Formats: sequence, structure tokens, C-alpha cells
Amino acid sequence: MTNSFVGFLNSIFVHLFLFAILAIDFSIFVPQKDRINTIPIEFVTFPIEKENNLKKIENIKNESIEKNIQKKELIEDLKVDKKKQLNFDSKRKLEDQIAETKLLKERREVQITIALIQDRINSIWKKPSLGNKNIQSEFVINLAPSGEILSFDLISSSGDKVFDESALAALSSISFITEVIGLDRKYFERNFRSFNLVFKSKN
Amino acid sequence: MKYFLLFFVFLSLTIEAKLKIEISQGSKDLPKIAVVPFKSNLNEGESISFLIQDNLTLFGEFKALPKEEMLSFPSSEKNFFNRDWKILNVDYVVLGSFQENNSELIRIEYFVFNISLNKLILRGDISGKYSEKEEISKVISNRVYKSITGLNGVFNTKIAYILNPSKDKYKICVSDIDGSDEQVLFESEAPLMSPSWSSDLKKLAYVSFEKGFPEIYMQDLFSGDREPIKTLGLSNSAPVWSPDNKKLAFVMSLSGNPDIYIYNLRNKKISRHTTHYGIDTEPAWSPNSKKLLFTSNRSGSPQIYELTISSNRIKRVTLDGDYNARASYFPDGKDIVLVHGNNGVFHIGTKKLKSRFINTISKTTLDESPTISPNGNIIIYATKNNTQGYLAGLTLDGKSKFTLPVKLGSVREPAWSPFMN
Repeated sequence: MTNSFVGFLNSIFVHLFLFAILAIDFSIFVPQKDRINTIPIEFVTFPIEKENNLKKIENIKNESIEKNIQKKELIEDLKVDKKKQLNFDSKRKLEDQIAETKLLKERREVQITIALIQDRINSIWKKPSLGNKNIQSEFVINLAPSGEILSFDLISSSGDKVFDESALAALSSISFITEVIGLDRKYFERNFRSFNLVFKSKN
Repeated sequence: MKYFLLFFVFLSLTIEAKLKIEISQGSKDLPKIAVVPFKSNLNEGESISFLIQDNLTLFGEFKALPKEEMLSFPSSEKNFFNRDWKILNVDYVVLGSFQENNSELIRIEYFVFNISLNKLILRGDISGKYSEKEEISKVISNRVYKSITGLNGVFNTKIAYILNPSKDKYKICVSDIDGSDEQVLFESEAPLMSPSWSSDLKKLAYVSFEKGFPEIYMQDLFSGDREPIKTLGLSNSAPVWSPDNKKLAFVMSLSGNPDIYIYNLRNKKISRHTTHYGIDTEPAWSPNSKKLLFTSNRSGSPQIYELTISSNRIKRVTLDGDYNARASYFPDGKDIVLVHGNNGVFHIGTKKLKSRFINTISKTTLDESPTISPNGNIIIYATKNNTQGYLAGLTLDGKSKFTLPVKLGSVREPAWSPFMN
């Protein structure tokens, strides 16, 4: 008992240690902030702020002439606000914005590639007659950046031999997944170097 | 303790989320099958392979390769070359040969190859009389179908239906599933309705109006003997044989309000299972004979309910749509098929018992009376073209649709037989 308890504690420490290593590893992919310092502020527009300001101005325009004086004050206030923002927050905001657009870009590119791969595999997979069976089998695919399929392995069987074999037949009929060619190398490494393909009998 | 530790191991393994791509549709093309003419010492060598090809393509699940396009005509493993079929994009090849042993008996040897896997997936043989070649080819087709899809073949099952050739003529018919060998069980000038098979395939129950009111009869398919079920109520309908062959569920109106009853075929006793003042009708048995689906308008519109027989507990199954009726279970008891209507348009739909969503699968409107193949892969239903009723069908994956041969008259209420044992 004591032995297994010590073993248990040991394994917790080992796993926490492994977890820490993994967590540190992950930070490699976080965009590095000092790189974006060099981007000049003048070239960047603030679409959201601009819109907000415009709306405010429009609202003011619609109001009666009596508030004309207030309007002028407001506009001046806004200008001051903007300047202040530019001076204090803009740098940080910019960084966030750029990181976000980069992430969005990656997500979009990955989504497009996923859709292309789905189309491709769907077109070659001859799904057998299944009745109302609700099953799925999962494969892990390893790709080279050229799209070449280095290996594929069944990691979770559906339990239905015919179903598994139909998926195997589809995968063995192609040797390249050309859809990943042209994808940014970083995106490829992060998403498509090794991914799982799930064949499902139902949507 | 071990499991606890395993949990930590898993925790550390699952931290990295891997990209998962889901594929669920599959190709729109049908699998291509080549049935090579069987080699024989008789002149009619091709006849059996033609019958097999007709069977396999009956429900549109496969596309057959025409004989003219074949590059070779192998009859056994020895002269079969995978590449001959791969370049033709064929998925499966069926080949074989048969020999006449003595005057009548023949012995057929057959092989099925999966071309994309380059693998022999079935080798079998069967002996029989040449005059019974239809039955023999159905048995071979069933085995070939099972080797390719993993599902049991239904080529030797039967179908019962109501034929209405002219205004005052009703017939109850039974035919092979391909429409051949039609037999008339009973003919009447009064309406006939709701045929239902006994699970041993020896009897058929149905409703007849021959005495002016609906009455349930059980007819023996071989002797033709008919036996009415004696009940107190004047209006009996919708008989359904339980899969264990011990009971018959039906609908009876004792005081003008239809409710679900069960007739015990052994002790001939009747038990009542619903008591609501709404209409309860169209019972259907679960595969384990422990539950019934039925249609009821107790909520204001026709909806499906599930009744547990031992406790008489009732659970509502459908929630969507203003019309859900005529439900029956799939052979696995997990899903149901039903008629789903919205704003006067009626489609055949399927539904998981445990989820809310109804998936409509037929494209025609005015569909009624769906019946599921015993392997759960095909649905045949009655539909209408102007005034003429005919039978149409589809496979569950939606890839193929077909209509059954047109009969002389309107066809209604198909009932697919259970498997022949």
C-alpha cells in the first residue's frame, strides 16, 4: 500500500512536470510582441473607433439647433479623446489587433483547407449500405508538407469490418492530399502535420 | 488505484488538441459491381449470374457493369486478375461456375472479390435443382450482399399489400419482394386493410369490412383458413403481430373511442392498454415485444407515443410538426420511421428515439404507410400519382430511389415480411 502511495505521489509529480514542459512548449507559438514594435502608427486606421465617432457625430447632427454649441464642444472632446487614446492605449491595442487578425487568418485558412480535404475524401469514399447504424472509425494521418501521405493508422475501429474497410480502401486509393500545398508552413505544422480523420455513418 | 493513475496519464496525453476532420457523406456514386457470366457445361450458363445481378441491383444499391465492357470472363480464383477490374473502376466482382452432376442437380461455386482491397471476400458453393434456379440465385445474392455490406440480404423476403383493381374490388396479395410470384390471399367487395405478418411467416392478419363493420381476421398462408378475432367492440382495426409471435396488438372502440388492446394468442384473452379519451391507433411492436409505438391525438394533433406494456407507462416521442403518424421501429429498436406532415405535405421521416430531430428522407409528397426491410436498410412506402397508388422505396442513405412494378390497380399499405429462416 505504502509503495503504491509513494508511486502515486511520484507519478503526480512526474505528470505535473510533464505538464509544465508541455505548457512551456506551447508558449513557443504565442506571437512575439517585440516584433511588432516597428510598425509605424500612422498607417493604421481604427475602423471601429471611427465608426463610433461618426455615429456620435450623426446623432448630434440630428439634434436641434439649440444644441449647436454643445455639438462643437463634443466634437472637440472627441478629438481630444482620440489623441489621448493614440498616445496611451494605441500601442497595446494595436498589438492585440494584429495578433487577433493573425489568428483569424490562420483559422480561416485552416477552415478552408479542412473543407477541401472533406470534399476530396467524400468524393472517393464509397460508404457501404449501413441501415440505421450509427458508427464511426477514426484514423490518424501523417502528412509531409508536399501533401504526401506518410502513414495512416486506424486508431479507433467502428466495430463494423465492412465500414472500416471502406474507409481504408478510400485512404489507400490516394497517396497525396494536395489540398495542403500552398498553405503557410507554420499553419501546416500546427494543424496538418498529423491530424485525425473521423469517418461517420451519419451526419 | 490503477485507474486513478491512468486518469493522470490520460490527462497529460490529451492536453494537445489534435485537429479532427469529420467525413460523413461519402461519394455520390453507387458502388460498381461486375457479375461475370457463370461458366457451365449447360447452354443456360448465364442465366444464374443474370438473376444474381438483377437481385443485387433491385433496390438501386449497386451499379452493374455491362457484360460488353468486361475485359475478361474469369470463372475462378485462378484466372482472376485484379487489374482488369481496377481500370474499369469496379468495386466488387462476383464470379463462379456451375456443373450439372446428374440429370437435375447442379452445383454452383462462386467467389466475391473486393477490388480496392484486392481481396477475396467470399467463397461459397451451393447445390440444388436447376428448375429452382430463382430460389438458388436469391440465396447466393443474400450471401454476396452480406459479404459486401455486412447486412443480411432481403432478396428472398416477401411483401403483402392491398390491391384495389376497380372501385368495388379489394384483394390482399403476397408477392416476392421483386414483385414476382403474386398470390391473392383473399378477395372482397368490401374494403380490406392493414396486412401484418406473423413472425414465423405462416399467417397474415388483416382487417375486413365484409360484414359491414371492421373485423380482424387471421389467415393461414398455406391452407387459406381464416379465423376472426372475437371481441366485444364493433370496430376493430390495425392488427400487428408481435415479433415473439405470442400476441396481437390492435385497436378497438368499445364505446366509440379507439384504444390500444392486446390479444394474447395463447389464452385468447384481451387486455386494454390505453384509456385516454383521445384517439389511440396504429400500434407497432418494438423488436423485443416489450413496447408499442402508437399514434394519438391526445395533445390536439396526431403525435407518436411509446407504451411500455408491463407498466402501461406512456411517453411522448414526437414533438415537432403538426402531423406525425404510422410509426414503426427499426430492427435495432433505437430509431423509428414515421410519416411526418407539415402544412398538408407528408414525407417519410426517421427519428432517433432519444433525440428530438426528425429527418425526412422521401422527396415525394402524399407518402403513407412506410414499411422497413428486415435488415433496416430500405424503406418501401405507398404514394400517389394523381389517383393511382403505387409503391416506392428508398435506401436509408438516400442514394437510391426506386418504384416497384406497377400493378393493375391502386396499391396500398405494403407490409414487408420478416426474414425467412
